[in-house]
Amino acid sequence: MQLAQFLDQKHVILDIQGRERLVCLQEILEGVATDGYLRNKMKALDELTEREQLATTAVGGGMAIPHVFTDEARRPLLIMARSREGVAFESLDSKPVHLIFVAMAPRKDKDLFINILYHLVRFLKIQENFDDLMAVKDVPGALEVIARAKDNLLSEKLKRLVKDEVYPHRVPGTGISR
Amino acid sequence: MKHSGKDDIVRSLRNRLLGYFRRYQLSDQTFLIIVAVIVGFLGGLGSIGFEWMIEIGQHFFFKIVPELVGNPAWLIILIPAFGAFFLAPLIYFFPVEAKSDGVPATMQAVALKGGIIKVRTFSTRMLASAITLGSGGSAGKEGPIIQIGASIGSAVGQFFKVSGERMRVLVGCGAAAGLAAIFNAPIAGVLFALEVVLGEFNLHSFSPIVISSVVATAVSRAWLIQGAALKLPPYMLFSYWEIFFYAVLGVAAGIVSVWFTKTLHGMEKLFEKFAPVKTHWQPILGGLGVGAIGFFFPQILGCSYDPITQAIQGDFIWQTLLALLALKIVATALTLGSGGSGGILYPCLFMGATLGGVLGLVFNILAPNIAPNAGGYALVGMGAVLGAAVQAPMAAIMMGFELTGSYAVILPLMTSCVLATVVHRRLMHHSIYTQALTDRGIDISAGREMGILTNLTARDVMSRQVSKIPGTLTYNEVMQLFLRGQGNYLYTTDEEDNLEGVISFQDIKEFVYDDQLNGLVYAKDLANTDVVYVTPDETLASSLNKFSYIDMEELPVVASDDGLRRLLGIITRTELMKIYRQEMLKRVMIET
Repeated sequence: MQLAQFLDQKHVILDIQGRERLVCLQEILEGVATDGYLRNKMKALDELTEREQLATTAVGGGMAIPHVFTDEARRPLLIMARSREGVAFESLDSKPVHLIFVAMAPRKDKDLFINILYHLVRFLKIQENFDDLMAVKDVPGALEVIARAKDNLLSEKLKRLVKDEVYPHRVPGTGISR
Repeated sequence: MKHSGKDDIVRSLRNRLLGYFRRYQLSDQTFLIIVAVIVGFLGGLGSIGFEWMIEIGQHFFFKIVPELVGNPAWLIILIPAFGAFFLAPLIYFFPVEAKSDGVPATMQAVALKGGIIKVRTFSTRMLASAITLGSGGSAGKEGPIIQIGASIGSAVGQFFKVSGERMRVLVGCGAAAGLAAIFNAPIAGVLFALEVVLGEFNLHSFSPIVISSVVATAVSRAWLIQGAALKLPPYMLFSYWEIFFYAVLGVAAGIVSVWFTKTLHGMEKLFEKFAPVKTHWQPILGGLGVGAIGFFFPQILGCSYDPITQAIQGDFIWQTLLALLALKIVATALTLGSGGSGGILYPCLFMGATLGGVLGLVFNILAPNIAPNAGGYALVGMGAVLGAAVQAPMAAIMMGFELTGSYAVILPLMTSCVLATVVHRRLMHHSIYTQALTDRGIDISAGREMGILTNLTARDVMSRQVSKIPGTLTYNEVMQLFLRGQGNYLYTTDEEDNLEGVISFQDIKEFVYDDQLNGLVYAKDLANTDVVYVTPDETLASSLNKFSYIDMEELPVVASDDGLRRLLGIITRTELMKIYRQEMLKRVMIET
């Protein structure tokens, strides 16, 4: 199990043009092919925007992780976008955002998804990782950096549930959702 | 005055014993174990005494009486009825204790009366069953001995003035002791007590019941008349393809068990409504019917294990086996339905053995290489019909295992027993025991009386202290609430108090000491929106059912009539059980 597992190579945009967060989100979703991942891309965008308006997902340090649970998502997915100039994201530290990871997942994968977010934040908060992602020239390069984040990604409990290669369609919940 | 003298002796003995226990500062568990040894010992003695009484009965009805009238062949028709004649005064004076099967009565005592059983149950039941079984009535001695053991357990408990849960455990100890001793099967005794009598497995009751079962078995092995217990030949599985045949046997056993249950209860109703004579004379009618069947097929009389052994050894042709199966069902229904005293465990074993015998012969014709031995099916069939009828597959599996002493029987037994249990459950909701209670308006499920639980609603036990939070609370705020001890569940609601979701501490506790997610994740994200809830007017029985399939300690109570989900409060599992016990106590007090 690694973060890269949820990041399709089609889902990496190395240079987005938008300078404002909602414009940016629209540009990101319109810019990638999400067949097989999302049912209705526009509806998913609406939900993502709605969540973003509730409170910003730019937690500081030049990164933002706009995310939403949506039934439009068939499985958890990440989309990576990079802006060299920076996007005004109303971030907590008021600095422009350079790395944006859009994350979406169906409700049933709540536990897995929270884990993905958790490890994504931890990964990006390491300056070396952040800098390397800013420096990469192409998509394979970006995937290579993300692929570093592969160990101890999940709690022991979830690790047992998630096989190495295949994303499982059902992560048994810890009780409540049954 | 005489009475008070006896009471004084009892009191001084109790005080002396309790004084010893206090001096050595025994823990609750140790005390229970010591008392379990006493119950096991007395239960073992009780089963020896009971066995001995049946022997006397058989000697009287089948030796002395025939010799007095010159041994005519037709006499066999009259013997069960003659025995039933002696039952009449017992039923007349003690209608509750003398009639019917003892296991449902014990289950009822455990679920409804906190395990209190009248001491005279012991003697009345022993006498009535010894007469019925001794005179050839078609029933088993296991049901009565379970009740006899249970009443010994209850009497010992009453002597030591134990209450509540410990009394239930002691009744379980007695039941296990009785069954273990008479069957020479200690593990099956333990499982039967847990599965059927107490209706639950827990560690607290396990040790005392095991100990009691062991002591009782040891006592009975030391003194019981040799040859009385069922002994089965060792078992062999010839091919793993046989498992398929055992599955078929399991399904058939489930059907037979339903057939038996329905016939038995149908017969009870028939006698109740249409019998031309008063209740205490009815067993004579039943006895005449049994005697008539016994004239042609003497195997169905009484509770001898010989026909079972013969069926397993292949001494019968298939026509005989089939006839014995059907006639045993009718004869047992006649004996017990008319008011004779006895159990259904042995008849179940008999039916299972004959059913298995027939099917074994069929399988042998179909596939002689795979199923060369019909006896094995008879053996496994016993366990399957028993497990299905009493809805206790584990006890049935262990019983088959213990009686044969061969481990090879485990796979076929598990297959047949579990399938038979499932088939029975599919065809009718109740076991043969709980059906008997349902007929009297008592619905026992998992050792609890559901009637109490259907009379109360969630509103009656609901607590209005519920931790409601808005979905916009940040991750750290949610964590703070949990860490400050606001319970293990937080409910996210909108401005109008409508329930949106629930956050369980269990789900997020792994991130407790890390605030990476702060600012990113909100209460709304953490909450499960797929919430199982109860409505205020929902019964506690239905609530308890919901608790059994979700893994939560509490359930939200939600008013959902207008399409919204307004959160009113919560009910907790503990509160629900507390209310149940209070209501049960109230009932006991009203009845006594």
